[in-house]
Amino acid sequence: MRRRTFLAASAALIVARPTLASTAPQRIVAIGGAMTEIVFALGEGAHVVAVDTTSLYPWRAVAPLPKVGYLRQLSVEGILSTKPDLILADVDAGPKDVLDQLQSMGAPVAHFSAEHTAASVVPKIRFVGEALGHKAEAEAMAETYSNDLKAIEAAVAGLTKRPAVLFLIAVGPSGLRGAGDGTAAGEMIARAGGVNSFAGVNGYKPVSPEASLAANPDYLLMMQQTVEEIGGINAVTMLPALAKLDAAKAKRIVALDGNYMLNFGPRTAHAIRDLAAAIHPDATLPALPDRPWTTE
Amino acid sequence: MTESSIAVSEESVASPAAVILPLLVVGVIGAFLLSVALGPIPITLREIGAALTGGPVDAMLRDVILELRIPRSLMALAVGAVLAVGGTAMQGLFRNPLADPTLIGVSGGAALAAASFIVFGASFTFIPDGLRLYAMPFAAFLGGMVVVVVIQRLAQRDGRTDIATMLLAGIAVNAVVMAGIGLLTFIGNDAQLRTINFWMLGSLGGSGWGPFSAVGPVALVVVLACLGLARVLDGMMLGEREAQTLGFNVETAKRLLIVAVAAGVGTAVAFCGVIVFVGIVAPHMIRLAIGPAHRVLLIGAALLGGILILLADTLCRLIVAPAELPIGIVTSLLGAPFFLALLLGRGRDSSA
Repeated sequence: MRRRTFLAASAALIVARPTLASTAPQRIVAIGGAMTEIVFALGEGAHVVAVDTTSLYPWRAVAPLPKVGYLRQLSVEGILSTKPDLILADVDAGPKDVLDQLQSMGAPVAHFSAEHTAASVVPKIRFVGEALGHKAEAEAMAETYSNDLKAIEAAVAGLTKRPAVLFLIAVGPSGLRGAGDGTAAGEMIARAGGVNSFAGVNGYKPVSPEASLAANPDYLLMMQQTVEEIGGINAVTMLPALAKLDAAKAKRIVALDGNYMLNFGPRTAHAIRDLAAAIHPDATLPALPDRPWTTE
Repeated sequence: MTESSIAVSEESVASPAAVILPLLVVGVIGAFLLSVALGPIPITLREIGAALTGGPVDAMLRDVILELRIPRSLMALAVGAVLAVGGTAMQGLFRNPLADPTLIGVSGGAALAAASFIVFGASFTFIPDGLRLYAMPFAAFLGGMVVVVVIQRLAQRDGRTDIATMLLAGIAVNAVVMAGIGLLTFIGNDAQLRTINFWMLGSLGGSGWGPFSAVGPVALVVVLACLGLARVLDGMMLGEREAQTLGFNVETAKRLLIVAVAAGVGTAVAFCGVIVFVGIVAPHMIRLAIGPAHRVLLIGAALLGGILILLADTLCRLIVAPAELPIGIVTSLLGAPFFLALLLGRGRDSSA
């Protein structure tokens, strides 16, 4: 009943817009960095009216858009105020009652539900394509991504070395926080042909300096943003908590953009390739061709 | 004789109260209208009128007004009133101007239960999906009550509740509770950590008719119950023994107050998370304005608490729209300086 009144209202809205020709979504709210990237890759960026705070790419296009807040802490009225006719939400979006309320108030929510992995990007692209009415383009994009992923998988499988990598999500006065099992960083390390030094621990947990010494990782992996906050690679190697590590002494520190490395979107195959190349400097890994969604 | 002596003390504050209480009522109405009218979606007073009277208005706007704004504003009013009344009652009970409901463990217990639910809730598969929305508030409410009962039991001496012991027991038990929350943030993954964090800062974002139908009636009963105990609280300002000789059943009153505050604040916290400072600011401002007699103090604090939460929540919705700020940030950020200014101004006046 309420649904019908809303449909009537939105039909009125559509009539009021002279340039509108189709029923494809015209006012999209994209929630989740990967969602946003896919919407832009499918050419619907111009119809995105707002994004969440984890949507950072494509930088120039996303920066000026209104932000509806952190993706786990959305507000019904904030999103409604952007007058969306489609809310594309990634798996982490919530709270659930907010999404339910949006749906019941006539703002259609498309909520993707598979957990974050490199493989889940394929169904995610198809999901967005379906919601946007771009099934054919999405299919082509998913296939390209899938082939890129297979190419880098094959290249990594041929590598003999398996360097130990410690991902540090936080480095500060209160200590280090590393990525254990079940984390995005852990998955990326494995995909890139490395071994997670902090395996056996669940989630992002504090690492004691002694444990990091004992693990003696070949590489330290950090987000570019974290490295910049500390003041660059040199500053990182001089941190008391890290200075004793062989990886710090030899400056084997890999910094990748956090969003690029950890959001499991269409750029993930390229991120795996970049990480694999960084932790296997002796091997020659083929570069993946640039894709429309990897070059802003 | 007791009646007359208390009546005299009320007589002496009657004049400021006669001015301030009506002002506060006007303030509540104004703040309520403001909070219904303002938000990220622009809404005119005419549209609000049309939505309320069934007049012609855009269906989506009507939903926003009737399903989001009004229940949320009612929630703000109820939560503000119950937090302020809880603070007033605790300050009277402990004869300590810094006391607030956190002291008897209700917020801490609720937070611990909520954090447990955030971290382990997914494995509680026995909860039917339809009840999931209410399972966490229910757990938080239970957690608050359990911790209050524990603290109250620890403070039992020869069949009476020893208030000084209760204060100290409260501090100790709260420390244990905080350690528990700390442990949960360690066990939890990053997503759960963020959720716990946001919960601890409070939000009225989850309001709706369902949550309000739980919080509203409880808040009303608790405010009325505390008002019913206003004279005992007045008596207890002189001391427990003195109150006893004045003919009050102090033990029963203490238990009633603790149960009422725990139930009221527990319900509010369960749905809206921890909202700090209102329980201290509102009663103090009223006390400075109209004096310490509890009947008017409780009414004034309830009204002012409602105004503060209504305004703070409206700001939360506007400042970072279309996102929303946790309300705890706003109540502390605005409440504390205002409170300080009031205190300092008052100090200068009395020294002059």
